Amino acid sequence: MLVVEAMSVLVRNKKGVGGDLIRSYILYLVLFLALFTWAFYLIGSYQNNAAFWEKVYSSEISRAIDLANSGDEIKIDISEALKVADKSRLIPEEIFFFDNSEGKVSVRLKNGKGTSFSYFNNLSVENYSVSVITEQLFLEVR
Amino acid sequence: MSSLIVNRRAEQGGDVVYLIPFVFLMLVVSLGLWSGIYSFFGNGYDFREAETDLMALSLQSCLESHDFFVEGFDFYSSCGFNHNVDKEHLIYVKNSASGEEFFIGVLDYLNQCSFVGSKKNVDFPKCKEFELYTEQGGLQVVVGSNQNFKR
Repeated sequence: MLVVEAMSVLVRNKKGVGGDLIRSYILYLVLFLALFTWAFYLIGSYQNNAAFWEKVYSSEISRAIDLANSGDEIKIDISEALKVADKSRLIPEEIFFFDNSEGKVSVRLKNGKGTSFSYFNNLSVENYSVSVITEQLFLEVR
Repeated sequence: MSSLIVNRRAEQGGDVVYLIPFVFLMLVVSLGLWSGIYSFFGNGYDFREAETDLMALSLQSCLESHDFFVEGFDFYSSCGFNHNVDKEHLIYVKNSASGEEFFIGVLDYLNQCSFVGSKKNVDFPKCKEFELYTEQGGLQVVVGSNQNFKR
């Protein structure tokens, strides 16, 4: 009788310990996963140096717009952008975006929102196209 | 019963204590990872200095053809700037003779750029200071940019 009671206490305690263990391991696991996700995102953003090239292209296109006059046509070499975008499986039409209301250039060379940079010249990009053959971005500003 | 509750609380406290070294370890690993990536790739691409030069160039031609201190002067339409210069930039013009001042943007950049250590510190805006002699007289001009890339 005494043995049975002792056994049942042991079983109960064992379950309690098991529950606590799982709970504490879940917490460790969640923290580890949070770190892993952050590290994965951080390293992924530097994959193919895409983050760097997004900055280069967004700022250099802004520079071209800042120096332009109304009615100018601008051609920019985008060979490196096309290479990086191709590695990220993005089509050329998904790389460059122009927000005329905010005066902003956005460049996307990897999955995500991309990188944007503002220009200060009071002009709008009326028309733009990407040529894969000549590897050039064509802009018309007014 | 009350002693049981106390024990249970004590146990929970013990769990939290065990968690502290783990969190500390994670922080050390995160810091190592971030500093490794940052030291390898650097701060990336800083365009602020180049943008300041561009702004100075545009402003100079505008200052030569417009009087900034006349009443009702519309800077944006006269100089062809858009309102992006209001946010993370500074355009400051002071007439040396009359002491009149004109500015657009963040005026505090004027102080930040005057600090000796600000030129080497990436956290401070990049500025360009120059003097210009026009029909309005001598002008002291400060142009600054602290525009960072946005995701």
